[in-house]
Amino acid sequence: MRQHSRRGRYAMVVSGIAIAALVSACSTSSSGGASGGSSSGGSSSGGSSSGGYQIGMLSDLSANLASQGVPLRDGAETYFNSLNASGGVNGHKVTLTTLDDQSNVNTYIADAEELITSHNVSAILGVLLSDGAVALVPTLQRAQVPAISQGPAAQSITSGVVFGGDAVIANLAPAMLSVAEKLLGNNSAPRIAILNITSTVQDQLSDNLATAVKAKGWNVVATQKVDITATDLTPAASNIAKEKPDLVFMGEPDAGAVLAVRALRQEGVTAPIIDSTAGASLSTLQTLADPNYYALNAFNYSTSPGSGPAEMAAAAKAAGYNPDSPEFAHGYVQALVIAAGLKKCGYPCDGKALTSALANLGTVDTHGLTAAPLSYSPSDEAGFHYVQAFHWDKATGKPAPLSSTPLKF
Amino acid sequence: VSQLTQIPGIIVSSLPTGCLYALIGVGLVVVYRSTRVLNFAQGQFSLLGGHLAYMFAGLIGTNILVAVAPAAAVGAVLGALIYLFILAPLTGQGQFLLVMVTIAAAIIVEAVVGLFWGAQGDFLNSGLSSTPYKLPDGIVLSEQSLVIIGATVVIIGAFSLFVRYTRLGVAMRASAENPLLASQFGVSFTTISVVSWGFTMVVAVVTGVAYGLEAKLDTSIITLSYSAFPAVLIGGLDSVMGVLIGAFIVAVLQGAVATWIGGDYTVAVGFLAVFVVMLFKPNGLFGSREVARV
Repeated sequence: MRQHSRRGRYAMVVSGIAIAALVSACSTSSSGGASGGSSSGGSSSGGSSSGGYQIGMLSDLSANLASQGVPLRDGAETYFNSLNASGGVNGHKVTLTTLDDQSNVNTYIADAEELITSHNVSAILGVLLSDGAVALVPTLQRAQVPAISQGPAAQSITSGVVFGGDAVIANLAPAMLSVAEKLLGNNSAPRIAILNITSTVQDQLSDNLATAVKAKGWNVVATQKVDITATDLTPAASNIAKEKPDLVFMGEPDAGAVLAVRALRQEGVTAPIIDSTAGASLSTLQTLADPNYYALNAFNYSTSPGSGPAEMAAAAKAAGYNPDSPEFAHGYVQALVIAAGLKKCGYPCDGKALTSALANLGTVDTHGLTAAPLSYSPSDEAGFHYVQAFHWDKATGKPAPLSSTPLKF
Repeated sequence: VSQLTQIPGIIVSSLPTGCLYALIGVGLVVVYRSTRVLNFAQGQFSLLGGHLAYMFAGLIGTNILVAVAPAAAVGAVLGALIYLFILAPLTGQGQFLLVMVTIAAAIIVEAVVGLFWGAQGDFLNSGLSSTPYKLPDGIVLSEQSLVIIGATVVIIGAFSLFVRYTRLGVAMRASAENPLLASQFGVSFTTISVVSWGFTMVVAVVTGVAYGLEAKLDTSIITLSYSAFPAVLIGGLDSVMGVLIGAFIVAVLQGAVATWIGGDYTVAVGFLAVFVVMLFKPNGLFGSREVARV
């Protein structure tokens, strides 16, 4: 009897822990050294209460995209910490509040509401998923709060409230074609294969590439789509290899890019492979060490020349973070853009004023963190218009750009 | 006709994925047979196991394949402790609670991996050649794939020999078939469970490293573990041989669909196969009839 009673109590304790863990995983979690702002009701009237600027961030800290979301948050935090240490913006510190969106579009909306109403933020950073950015638009428009999205898409970038935090992947076709022209030389009718994971933006890019390739009089000899969870890409690679392509366009994120390139090479495809910006992380290039794999990147690497990468690498090292994660640089640059907007906006600066400031930012010098300076205007909220094609240089053991001139898209 | 000639290639190229499904499935089945717990944390255990090997490789300065041994030893102890301190006290409290605990354990293990190794994931450097072996008909197989296949054969072979020829193994079989009767003959349920959970963590280490040889060792292995569930359901929740066969059925079906229809339908085909098998064999191809499904 006693034993049964103990077991019962133990069961209750363990059940409690299990339920607490589940609840904590299923609800939003806050992190990032934020003190939070005062509630301002439905609209963002403040964003500058508690004696400083309040900025929010939505990032995946615990679900499938946590490998990107955590460094994204770390990069933004690192920039703001450095900024605050040197006096902040317009003499005021910036507080960053990060909520875990778990890559769930419904959580995006709930988290955004919380950031706006409970934390009184004047802008939201992060927003990894392009679908999430699109879903946020009505909430952002209603509250008049801008967002900088890591996953900008054509549908969100023209909403007046979403600004680009990276290249719009679907728009990369001209730049990828430009790289292909360089690599193919005099081949006037090359055979082109296209391989991409199934996602909204990569599918759009794939369609845009196919249209652009055909418009040039080139031949699309194979189009393969793979599930994002696939670990065996041999069937797709085999189908491509059969067509003996002169060049392969790819829309694969980093882990998938490694699988895809290995599978293609195993199946005997020796042609150049050009990936979108999704497969450009240093670890991907380094792991593949394939000089004929080219990945577009709107950002430079932490080892690239320029004061920006050096400062970012030093700040990351001081904070104990790895600056080589591409998302770290993305978060860092997002914070840099917001800081430029806050500076232009003055103090205090609510969401509406910050939206206007961001839309009228003009050129933002990232000191070499990006392929070219960013540019925002009322008619162009994308910001990112240049990329570079990087491949692995075995001689230096570093990523090297195909050309010193950035590619416009 | 040209499609038929692709079948050998599809089968060979599906072997590594089938092996990964089989490894995850064996971990699930062994625990289920002994404790009747469907462990939803097997993917997270594999993530942890792979990172343990990654850690030992760095600490000892050795190849990741060599580091599997110390990682497996630590994993076995961890598995035993998980059973003794979390699950054993809950024996008899109902399956729902036990399943909920494995879900909570999954969340905690994933958080621990993120805390110690970061969320960005790691590519495991095995030193294996990237030049594939060329088989007839243009079929290729990489060294990584051969290692994965070999590891699966060793794990399943060793387990089969263990349960067939050792006293403890025979006790495990007896306990799996009739726990009450086995306990009346002196078989210790606790010992069987400790060994099962220890073994499943050893399998998790091997799975994590095997996955890391092919792909980036990150949370995507958890998604893979959920894709292994169709293999377990097709083979039978309590059959090691069944899960092996189920794993290859699912992997080959996925390979065929990816080759002939499109790679974005591969996940769906696995679960479609489950529905078809369940229509005719509700307990899976090799599952025991007494097994209650969760």
